[in-house]
This record gives sequence, C-alpha cells and structure tokens, in this order.
Amino acid sequence: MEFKKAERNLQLLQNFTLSSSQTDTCISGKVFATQCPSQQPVLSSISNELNNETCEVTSKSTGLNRGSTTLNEISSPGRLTYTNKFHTNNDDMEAILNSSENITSKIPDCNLSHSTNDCTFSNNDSKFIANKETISTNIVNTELTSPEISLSEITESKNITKLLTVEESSEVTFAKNSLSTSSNHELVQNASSENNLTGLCMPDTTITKPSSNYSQIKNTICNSKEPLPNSVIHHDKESTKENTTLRINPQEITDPKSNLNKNTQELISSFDGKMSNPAFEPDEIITNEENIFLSTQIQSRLDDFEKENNLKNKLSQFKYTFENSFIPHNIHKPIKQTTLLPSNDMPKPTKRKTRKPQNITDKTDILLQKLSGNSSKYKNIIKMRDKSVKEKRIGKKKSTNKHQTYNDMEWDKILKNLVNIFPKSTNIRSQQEYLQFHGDNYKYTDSSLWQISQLPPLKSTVPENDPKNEQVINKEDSLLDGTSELKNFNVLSLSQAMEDFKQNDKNNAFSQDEPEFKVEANSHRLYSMPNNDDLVSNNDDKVQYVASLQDFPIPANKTSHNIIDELHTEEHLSLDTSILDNGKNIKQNDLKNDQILMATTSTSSKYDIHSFNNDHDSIILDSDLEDLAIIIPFETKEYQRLLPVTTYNFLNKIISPNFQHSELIFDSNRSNQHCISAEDAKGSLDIHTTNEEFSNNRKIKRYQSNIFTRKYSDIEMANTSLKKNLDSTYDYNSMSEHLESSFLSKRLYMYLSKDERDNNANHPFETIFSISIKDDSTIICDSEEELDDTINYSILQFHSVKLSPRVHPPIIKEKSQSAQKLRVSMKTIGLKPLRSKSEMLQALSAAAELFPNDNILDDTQRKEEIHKLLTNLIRNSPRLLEKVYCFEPLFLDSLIDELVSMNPFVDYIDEGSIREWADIQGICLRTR
Amino acid sequence: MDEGHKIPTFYCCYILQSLHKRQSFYIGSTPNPFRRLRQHNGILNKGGAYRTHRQGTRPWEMIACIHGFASNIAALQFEHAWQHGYATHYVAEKDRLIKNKNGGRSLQHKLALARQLMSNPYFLRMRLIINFFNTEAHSVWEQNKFRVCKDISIHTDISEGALTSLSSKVSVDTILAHADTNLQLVSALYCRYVDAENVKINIYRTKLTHGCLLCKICLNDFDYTSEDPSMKPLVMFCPFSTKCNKFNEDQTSDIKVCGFQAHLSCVYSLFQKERISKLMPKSSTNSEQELIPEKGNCPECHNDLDWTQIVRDSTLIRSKFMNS
Repeated sequence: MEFKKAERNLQLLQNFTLSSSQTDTCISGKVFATQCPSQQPVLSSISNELNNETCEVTSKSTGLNRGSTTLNEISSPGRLTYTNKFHTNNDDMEAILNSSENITSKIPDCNLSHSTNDCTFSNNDSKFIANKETISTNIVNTELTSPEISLSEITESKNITKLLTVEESSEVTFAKNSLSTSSNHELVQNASSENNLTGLCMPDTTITKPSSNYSQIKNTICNSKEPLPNSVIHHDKESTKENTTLRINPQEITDPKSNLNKNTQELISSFDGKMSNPAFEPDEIITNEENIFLSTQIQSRLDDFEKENNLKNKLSQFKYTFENSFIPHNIHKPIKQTTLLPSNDMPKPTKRKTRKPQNITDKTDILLQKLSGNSSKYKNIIKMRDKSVKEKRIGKKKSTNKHQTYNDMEWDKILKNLVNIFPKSTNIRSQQEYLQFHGDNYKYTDSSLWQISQLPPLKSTVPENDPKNEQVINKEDSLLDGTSELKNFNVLSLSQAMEDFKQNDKNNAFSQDEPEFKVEANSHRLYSMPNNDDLVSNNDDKVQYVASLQDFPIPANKTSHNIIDELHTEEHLSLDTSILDNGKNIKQNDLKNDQILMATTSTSSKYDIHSFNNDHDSIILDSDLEDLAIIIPFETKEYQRLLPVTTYNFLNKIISPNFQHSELIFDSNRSNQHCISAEDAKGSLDIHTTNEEFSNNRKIKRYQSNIFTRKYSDIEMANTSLKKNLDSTYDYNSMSEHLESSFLSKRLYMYLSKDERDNNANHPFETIFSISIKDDSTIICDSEEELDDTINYSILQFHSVKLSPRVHPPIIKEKSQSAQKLRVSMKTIGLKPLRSKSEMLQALSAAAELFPNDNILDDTQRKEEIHKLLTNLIRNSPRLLEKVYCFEPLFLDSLIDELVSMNPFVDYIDEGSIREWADIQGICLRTR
Repeated sequence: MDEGHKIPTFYCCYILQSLHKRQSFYIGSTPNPFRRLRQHNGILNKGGAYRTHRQGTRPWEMIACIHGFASNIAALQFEHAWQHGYATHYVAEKDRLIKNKNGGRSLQHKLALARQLMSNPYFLRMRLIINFFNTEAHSVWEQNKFRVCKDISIHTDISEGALTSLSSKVSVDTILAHADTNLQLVSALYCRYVDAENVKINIYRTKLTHGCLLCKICLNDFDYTSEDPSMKPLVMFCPFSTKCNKFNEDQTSDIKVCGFQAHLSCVYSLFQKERISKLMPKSSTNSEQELIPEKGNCPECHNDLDWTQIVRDSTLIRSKFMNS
C-alpha cells in the first residue's frame, strides 16, 4: 500500500511538467539530494514553463530556518521569478498553502501547493531523499504546458532516505560550472534589479521577457506578500546542458487542491521513515543525469556524507544513536555509551615533595632547612649543633675543635722550636700558653699575637750541631725548613720584612722598600719624602723610621748641599758609609742594642699615592734630606719630656719649602691647596689636626723650585683649611735659603709608643700643637731592639716651621662628627647634600673659610652668611642687580651659573637655599 | 631691540563665588578681569573657563581680586599658591590653615590664605592690593577669623557700590541683575588702571619728546629720541607735581609738575643709601641686605615714592618708547 502510494505520488510528480514556451524557454531546475541525516531537505524546485513565457523561479534554501517565499516582481512580462524559502513548521506550511492558494486563485489555473520540506533529488547519485514532510509543489496553470519531471532522474537515487539539508545561507547554484554563489547572486540581483526584481534570485537564472499574459500573473504574484510555497528552480537550459529540468504537467496540476494536498500528504506519509521506499528511490526518479543539476557545494557535501555513511556502515562497532535520523536500520545501531567505572584500586598516595619538618619550631632550624635545600645537609648541621650542645652540657673536656691542625705533642714541639729560634723573645716564653689552642686552655693576654710577631727576629743561639736543632729540622712537622741555613736564617714576619733593613745589606742604605725617589737628571734634587703614611698612619702599627742627617753628626765636609750633590742618581741614594759609621758609632756610644736604620720610606708599590683611601692620612713630606736621614733611637725620657702625652698620628701641615710662587701649579680641581710661606715656615710648628681633617688631602702638582731646581713629586697636603694662604703672596725666593737652613736644622724626630698610639688613636693631635720644637741636636734613635722591650716606638717628624695665624686652619667642629650629623648640618646651612664625608668636610671647610669667626657661628647663622654672600654677589653685578630691582623674572639655572662664575662656592649651595634667599629678597625666579 | 621686562598694567588674581551655590568658589588669574568674568559666566564663548561651566554654578560673582603684581609670573605663582594652600612653600607648614587637599573650602579659609600669602616677603615687597566687590567678603576679611598675620598691613580697597550678598530665595532676574552689577564693578576697576596708564604714557611722551634730558643724580644725559640704545636706559620721572599731588591729565596747563628725573639705577642707589643711613646701628643686618628698596623720597619734592610704582613707570617708558 505504501508502495503504491509512492508510485502514485511519483506519477504525479512525473506529471508535473512545465511546458516550455515556444520561445524563450528557460527551464531550470536542480535536484539534489543527500543522505545526510541531519540536514533537512533544502528545496525542491519545479520549473514552470509557461506558454510563451518563461517562468523563472528562484529559490533559496534556508534549510533550517523559516523562510519565506517572495515573489519577485518581474518587470518584463512573461517572466516570473520568485524566491521560495522553505519552512519547517506546519504553521508556515499553512501559510504557504494559503499563499499558494491566493496565488493560485489569482493565477488562473495555477495551483500551488507546497509542503514544508523539500524533496531533494540528487543528480549524480540519483538518489532521492525524502523526509516526512515533503514538499510537493503543484503549479497549475492552464497556460502552462505540462511540465515534465524527469522522474527517472529522481528515481535513480535508490537509497535516498534522507533529505538533504543545506545550510541556511547557501544558495543553490544552478549551473555546475557556475560562478561563485555570490557572483551569481550578484548577477541575478543585478538582473533582477534591472527588471525590478526583488529578492534573491538564483544564479544563472535567465530572465526573459514575459508575455503579456504573464503580466497579470506578475502583478498578482508581486502583490502577494505572503511567502510562496512553491519554489521552482529555474534552470537555464541553454547555458548548460547539464542542467536538469523538471517539467510539471499543468494538467495534472489542475487537479483540485485538496486532491493535490492529499497527494502531498500521502507523499509526506509515504516518506515517513521509508527511505528505502523504492518508489522514491532516487534512482527511479532521477534517471537522466543530464536533467538533474547539482551544485558543486552540495555535491561535495553529498560526497562527504556518503563517505561518512560508508565508514559508519563499515565500522559497525561504533554504535551511534540518532534521533530522527535517516540512517537505515541496517546501518545505524544504538550506540552504547561507555562510562568509566571507578576502579576498585585505591588511589595511589601522592608523594609530597615538600616535607614538613617534624618537630621543628626553632626559627633557625626552619631557616637552615630552607637555605640548605638538602635535608641531609640540614640534618648534619643539626646533629653537629646538638652534639656540641650536648658536649657543653656534659662538660666534656675533650677537644671538639675541628679546626685544630696539630695535636698537643705537635704544639709542644712547635713551641720549643720557636723558643729556640727566638730565644730572647720573652713574650713567647711568658706566653707559651697563647700557642696552645686547646679549648679551655686557651688563654689570652693583653698583647696579641700580632705584636708578638712584630718582634724582631733573633739569631738562633742553638749551635749547629745541636741535636735539638737537627731534630727540629728533620721532623716533618717542623715549621722550619730543614736546611743548613737555619741558623743564619732570620725569620721575619711580612711586616718586618717590609720595614726593616737587613743588617747585612750595608751598601744599600735602603731596604728594598725604598721610597719612590724621583731623581731627575738635574742636580740638586730633592727627593720625595717617604710617604708619611707610615709616619702618620693611624691604622698601621708599623714602626716607621725617618732619619735626618742633620740630627746626626755629619762630617763637616758633608753639608747638605754636598750631600745632595752627591746624590745624583738613585745609585747614590745609599748613604755614605761614613754616615753609617757615624750612626754606628752613635749607636755604640749612646745606644744599647740599637740598630741604625736607614731612612725607610714606604715605597710606591706599597703605598701608592693614588691608592690612598680618603680617610687614610697620608702625607708625603718633601724634604731634601729625608732620604738621607738616619734614625737614632730616641730615649724615652727625652721623649716623655718633650711629649708627655700620647699619640701623634699625623701632621697638620706639610711644608713645601722650596718653590717658586710663580711656578706654583695647583691642581685646578683642588682649589684649596696651600703652600706655606717662608714666614710661615719659621718657628714652631703648631699642629692641630684630627684624623678627619687629615683625611682631606690635597696634592700639589710638581713644581720647580729655583733653588734646587727640582721637581717635587706630588705632595699630599693636609686639609683644605690651608686655603687662606693661597691668596697670600710669598716671597719664596728669599725664604728659600732661610727655610732650608731652618728646615734642615730643626728637625725633630720623636718616638711614640705604639701602645700609646693605639690607645689614644682617637685623640686629636692637639697636645703637640703647643709644643714648640726646639733646636736640639738630640739624636733620636729608633731601633727595633728597644731598650725597653715593652715599648714600641714610631717616629713622627716635625718640621720646625712657624706658622702664621692665618695658616691655622679653622677648626671645623663637624670634623669630628659623623656623616649623618654632617648631612644635617649641611642641610641646615643650606648646602648641597653630598655623598662622602670627605666631600662634606670639603664643603664645610670652604664655607668656614668664607665666614669670619666660623667657630662661633651656628648653622642658622651660617645660613644667613650664605645669603649675604649671594646678596653681595648680586650687588657686584650691575646687570643682575638691575634685573632684580626691576622685578624681572630670572631663570634659576642661568642665575646659578652666573653666581657660580663669580664665586665657585655657590656651587655648594643648595637650590632650595637659593630659592629661599630669592623669596626673601623679592627676586622672581622661574624655571625653563 | 628687546624692550625688556615690563611690569604689567593690570594683572590680578581673583576669587569667584557662585550665585546659585554659595559654597562654590573659584580662584584664577587674569590680566583682564572684565573679559574673564564674562567668559566664566558664558557671555563670551571663547576662553575656556571649563571648570566654571559646570551646570548649576553660573552665574559667578567676583567677590575680590588681588592686583599689583610685578610680573605675570608672580601672579601665576600667587594663584597657584592660593589654590594649593596645603602645599605651598610661601606659607610655613606650621602656619598652614589648610592641611589637606579637601580642606579650606570656606570663604574664611580662602581669604585667610590670601592674607598669609600677601604677608610673605616675596609678595609683600610687591605691595599688592586686594579689592573687594562684595561687602560680605570684605567683612570676612576684616574679621580675620583665624587671626593670621595681624601685624602686617595689607592694602585693602573696596569698590564703590559693592554688592551685598543675595539671600537664598531670590529670583533668577535678581541673580542676573546682581551678576551684571558685579561685572560693572569689575570693569570699572580694570578700566581705571588702564586709563591711568594711558595718561602716564601721554605724560611721558610729552617729556621724552624734549630730546636729551639730564639725570639729576649722576648728571648724565639720556635721550629717548636718539637711535643709540645706550641713551635709552631705565629712567624715572617723579609722578608728583609741586602744586597738586596727583597726576595732571592736562599737560598743557600751567600746573608745574615735579621735574625730578633720573636714571633708575641712580635712584636705586640713592634710595639704598637713604635706607641704610636711616637704619639704626643695632638694626638687623637683614635690612642692610635688602636688594629691593620699598620706597624713597624724591630729592626735589620729598614725597614718598613707592619703588614698585617707580619701576612700573620706568619699564613702561622703556617698553613704549624704546623703539619709537
């Protein structure tokens, strides 16, 4: 029954033919079908062929969406185009039907019926896919010729059970070789626009002139706004041969609507789930491939779907269930949903990478653990610590010092060897326990090991054949090299080696650590003073020795000049042996166990001038004879008489006696350099300086003196307080000789106890200030072999010069203050903030020089003084003054530059202070 | 040739109060307060005044203005300080009444801040004048609620016909009329100074056209009719006449004017010497260090001459007649 119904329907469809007009027949149609179950039928089209008219119907598939069929007005008579969008809703179907009824009523003998879905017919595959709701369109028009539906083509598709669904926005292309849909669409649109066609037209739709009779149809159709149910695909037969045509027999269409509707319903019902109905097999319907046209897009999709289905059929194991699908029963099987069942296995415990410390509450322990990274390492550390704690608690006497390199026996041996080497070192003897690093037995005394090491070495009194010595030598643990030179080998510490002269080295008056003597080609050279860093260093505990020939009984023929003349080159720097002999004689006569040591200076390698730390006091005295000096130990009594107090770490002033004022060359960057005048170089030396003051070193570049025609090396000056003397003019020529004599004759060497110096390192160098150095011929001795073993001496050299009052550097109070306090004071005063303390001191000293009675002034008063300075600078500049009293706004930068050009000290002044001063004065400042 | 710096004829800092919202104030500065007020009230479309364009605030009333600045830079500095009383360096931090950005919104605070600024040495030297257009504002000023800078005298003026504050419930017409009246007061003030300057220009033109003139201090010549720029320094003419202590607009009359004329620099030196000589021996050294004198006496008529006024006239002469 169903099959018969299907056959009947097919026959009806076959009878749908559109008779083409005699001329200008444009029949087009497309049939396409797929097996895609998900897609809905797109459209079916039946071309209408009117008598002498062509009816072009364009259709547009919407697929899933509701569409509407609109009748495109055709300007030219005899042509009718309308778009048909297919609906999937029954309501829409009714509308379609109603509209079709309206149309059919208007159009004589035109019966349009339309169902929701389309019947799609595949051209290639000859498959017919039908859905439940099939579409059957009947266009009845008496004038129409009977369309002929190439059902043979339709029936070719045998296994069509599905309806093709095309995407919504796709447009059916009628020509296989058609252009892109858009272009075709445009063409059609343009064509339609020319003919006042509205809506979308299918591509390749040719528009021919409709006949006059068709105009009525046109008007009626155009006026209908309701969507037309029917969609007729018009295919241009002339354009392509492959286009299919569907002809609908209008005679068949003249059947009553109800009958047609019934037929459509039967068609719909027949297609219900009966995809395999042979009546609707596309193979039977579509017989003529030539008459069926499919778009390339749809064709490709059909191919894809076909492939999919084939795969699915093959892969029967994959079971999918589809609802309302068109998959044949034999293909589609319900797909079992695989669910993941929970496994019975227990989840594996995840390892924690981060182990929480157990019982660790101590912060240190936690930190250790974090820092160590390695738990084992951490544990070891903890173990060691706990162990040590335990041992302490228990009170084990055993030595836990892991750093002990020698055991008790070894240490005893070492001690014995040291005693043998240094037999006279009572310290060692008395402090044997110092060498025993045994835990609780470790004892300290007042003097440190360093001091002990500084003791002069002693010749070994142990005879060569002393078995002990041999034992000591032979033993591997011996500290000494097992050489035969042991007895002659003087063990020296590094500092000792750097300081002391070798006794055997008589020819060379100087140790290897000679000063850097700048010996020029010219005669009469002044040699650079040893770096008084040795002398004045408050950091070193070295014994520094400076000797002067004048203090020694120099042979009469050996005047200073003569001596100087002799010393042309470095080779002659060595002392005259006579001097040495004299020194020795002195030693023998006056001294006990004293050594005459030649002038030692710090070498440049050792004390590089340029490597001085700013805080490190360093003075290089320029003396003509310092290098030839011999130091003679100075007895303590005399020392105490002269210097009852303590440490004198540094000199305040350095005298550069021999220079020409005209040839003074100062470092341009160091404006606060100073040269002492001849007058200043007389008399006693008032020295008042502090460590901090002394740290401000200034260098005077080489300058050449007329007297000695020498070039002085760079001399580091004391602080900038000597600036005042810069302005003074000195008669250097006249003072030279006098200076020389006074300078050379009044030299005093003093000894300072190391202990005293160490203990009083922070004391300012004040007590010596009032001391006037007398002309004395006291021989100052210095030796490492001290009369008093408990006292170690250092020498401080004084130059007998007289300083004028103005040479006195103003005592800056802040020099003893910390950097923080200096910053505060500078801020209060109104100076620029500086980084280093030396810079701050430099600025403060520069400020102090400008202000009279700076010692009395406090910071606020100093600030006022600075303002006065600025005011005076403005007064001195008529141009600026005029601008100021005319209330002209001044650029701050330019103002500062001008003021700096007038007085460099302005560069130290803070910008805020300048602004404040400007506000007080009523000066308008502006920025760029 | 560069005319050099010229003290502006009139540059003021003003304070506006909204006639609708009495708690809304605006502080600004302008060389032409009449034009600016019209911009604020929307009478003139061009000219910004965006902040006063807020709905519901117009029309604005200029209740006071401070003028006499030596330069527009100084006026801008004053304006900025007046607007940011919580952060200005012209008022010491301990003396500040406004501590934060949102404080000091009342008229008392704003006028007190203005008083503090005018008492600053920098602005005090300019001898600024505060002119009130509103009696209520003037009374607040006089009241000096916060008792700031009581010892410093500040030149205060009140315009003739100063307006009284409006009550809360007034009609729109009343408000507009009030605004118009205020505008007229401002215009009168501005025009007065502009006209005075024009008169001065005429006077000085008459004097300078004589050609070579003699400085009565250094006895050197100056001539603004010459082409040599060196002959055109800053000069001053005593603004006082012997018979009447005011400017005589009609220079053709027989009224004599003080004939003192000199280089500005010479006058400056003279004033400085006089000031120093007048100082007590034990006076503070700060007074000696002042670069800009406040006033001096005319050597001929012995009238007190305000240094700011002298400089204003001198720079005016230079700007107007330097290139003529």
